[in-house]
Amino acid sequence: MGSTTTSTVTVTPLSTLRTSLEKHNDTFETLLKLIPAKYYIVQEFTEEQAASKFQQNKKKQKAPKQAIKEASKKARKDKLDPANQKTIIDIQNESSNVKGKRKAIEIDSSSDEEDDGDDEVAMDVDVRLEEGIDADSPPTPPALVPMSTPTSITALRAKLHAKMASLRRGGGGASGANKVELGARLETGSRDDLLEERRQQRAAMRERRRKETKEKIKRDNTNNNNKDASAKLTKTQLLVNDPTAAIIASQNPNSKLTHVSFSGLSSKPQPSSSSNPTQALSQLVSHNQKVASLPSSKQKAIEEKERFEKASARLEGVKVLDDEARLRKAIKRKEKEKGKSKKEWGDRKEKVEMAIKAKQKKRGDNIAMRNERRSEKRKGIKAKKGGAHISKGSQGGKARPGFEGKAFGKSGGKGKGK
Amino acid sequence: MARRRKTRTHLKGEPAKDASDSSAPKSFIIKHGQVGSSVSQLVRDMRKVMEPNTASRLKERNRNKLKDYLTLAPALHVTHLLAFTLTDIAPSFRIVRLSNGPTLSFRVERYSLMKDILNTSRRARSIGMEYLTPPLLVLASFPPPGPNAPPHLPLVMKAFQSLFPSLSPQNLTLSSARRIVLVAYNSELGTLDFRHYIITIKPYGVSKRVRRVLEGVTVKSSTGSVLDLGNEKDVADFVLRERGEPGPDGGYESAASSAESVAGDDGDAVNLADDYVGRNNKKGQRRAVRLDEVGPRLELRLVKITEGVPGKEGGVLYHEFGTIISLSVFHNL
Repeated sequence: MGSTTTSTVTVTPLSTLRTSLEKHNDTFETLLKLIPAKYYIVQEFTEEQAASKFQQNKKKQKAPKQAIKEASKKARKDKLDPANQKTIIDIQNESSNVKGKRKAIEIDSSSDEEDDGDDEVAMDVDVRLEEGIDADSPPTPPALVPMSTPTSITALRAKLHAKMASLRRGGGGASGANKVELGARLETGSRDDLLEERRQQRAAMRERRRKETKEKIKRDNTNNNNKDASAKLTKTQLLVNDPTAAIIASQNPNSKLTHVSFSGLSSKPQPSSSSNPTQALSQLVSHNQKVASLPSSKQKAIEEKERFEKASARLEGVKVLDDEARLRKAIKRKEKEKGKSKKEWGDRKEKVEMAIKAKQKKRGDNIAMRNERRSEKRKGIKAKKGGAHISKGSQGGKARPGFEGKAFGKSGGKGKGK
Repeated sequence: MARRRKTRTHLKGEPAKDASDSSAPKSFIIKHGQVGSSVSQLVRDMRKVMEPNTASRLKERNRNKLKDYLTLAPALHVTHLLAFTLTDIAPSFRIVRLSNGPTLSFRVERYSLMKDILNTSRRARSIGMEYLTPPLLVLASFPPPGPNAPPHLPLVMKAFQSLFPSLSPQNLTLSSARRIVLVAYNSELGTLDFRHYIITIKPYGVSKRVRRVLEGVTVKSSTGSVLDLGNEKDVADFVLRERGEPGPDGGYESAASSAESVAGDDGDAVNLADDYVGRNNKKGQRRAVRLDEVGPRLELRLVKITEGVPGKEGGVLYHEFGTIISLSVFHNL
């Protein structure tokens, strides 16, 4: 604390404090007494009471009518009994007496209830209304017996552990001898054994999972390698296309074969394997040149092989382009189509432009005509006002077909209204 | 006059276009030239076999030539043309892949018509519902493709496979498999056998063969309660018939339980993979599958395979009876 300046604080004497407190308390309590106690206290119904109150239509709970009548009469009488109308304050006082007695009883035993602290601080109103422990004098506590003098702290600790272990085991049974065969370890193994077992099982699971993933990775790798190998194979053994995989599968001569469709690759036979006729033509030409450059025996063999391949491909429905003349015709046809569509596109563009221009022109003409009419109308009015000569234009301006009457608009509102 | 509905000309939505698969191969089966009544009947039978992906009511006139069909086909999305004609030696049968595909020419060595087969067999005639789905193709006894196998056979296989829509195991339902077309290669003779069967499912019951003989037939047989073994040559045939052996009327059978079945063995009864047509054929039940032959029988010999369509034929890929000697060699002789 710093400087000791004497502060002029008037200390109220204790007595005045007390009286003022008590006065405040009294006013508060009078207000409190007005509220019946049931709004402060949780009423817990017994099973029977709850049943009777909330399940009145249950067959079991139906009491005979007479009993119900008498019970209700009794309840009404009790309600009017002044002794029964305990205010909340009375209840609190009663409960404090009760709690004090209970505390005295329980201090001896070594239970660790935490309610003690709460009781001292605040008054729990967690009290049953029907608790009828009368406020007798607290019973005399049993004679205190001093504990045996402790030998040492380690001995105490050992005793504690032993007691805990025995409690855990359920207080009985030999530890290792009675293990059930099926591996039910719960009651007879010790805690450390259990932990060990669990650890081992977890390790085993981990090992298994690791092995599986390794195998899976290996399998995927080998699959990829096999796929590459088989793709290359189908290019060389050209008689062995994929739809005949079913044929290979059954190698004996008495096999019964059906045409099963697999979603495999069907290699297109050379020479050309693009649908664009120009590309196809160039591929075909290059292929023919290559074949022509080879020795004649090889040429024959290649030709034979190719013929069969082409025939089988055609049977399956694959389009084999090997006719130069046809390809050239196809190219020519495509070019013509391109030219035609280009021309049509140009025509259409032109037409659209012309249409736009025509529309704009017409719009401009209409605007010009309107302006002309307007200007003539104005000129007509001026002429009318100025001179006797009324030009036909003004009359015509007013006498537009369909608009012969007076000008409507704002003036029409007058007519349309009441 | 509430709602005028023009239903004949103005169809609402897609009528039957989605009914048949648009990717399925479609075919024309025609005859051309002077053919007799038997070959005409054969053409009609073949149309029944290839239903529904064929023009079953195709009207051909004598004045129609082959090239008329060739010009019509692309407009109608037809992919194959099966043409029957008569030559001095034998009727000939051509499979033409349109529009510039190869042509396979066969010679029909022998054939039987549908009505003959139905008359000889005892089975009841089929209801028409089997012809709403395309048949399944089974190719038997073809040598596997390899370096030493003849190169024309895979082409023949492919030709037949391309005639029928391909099976996708995901989309295939068991109930859509009602008929089977079998094409078997006879390696000694070098011919192809063409057969057509209808699949029937029979309950695999408890009655054994011998028991049937002894106890007799109850209601179905019209000849009283005695089992009719008139078609068997020998009782031993009846009693000891193994599963898979053909019955007296040519059909194939897995372990069925009725009169033509083996003495009570449980061998080849199948568990149905799915619900099947007909009452009581639920998934998982045990049934015997029976193939009844119906439809024409053909014995074909491959004559030649050429590139191109008839009329615009290209080179010959394969010729059964020899190769054409080039003119220069001929001159030098």
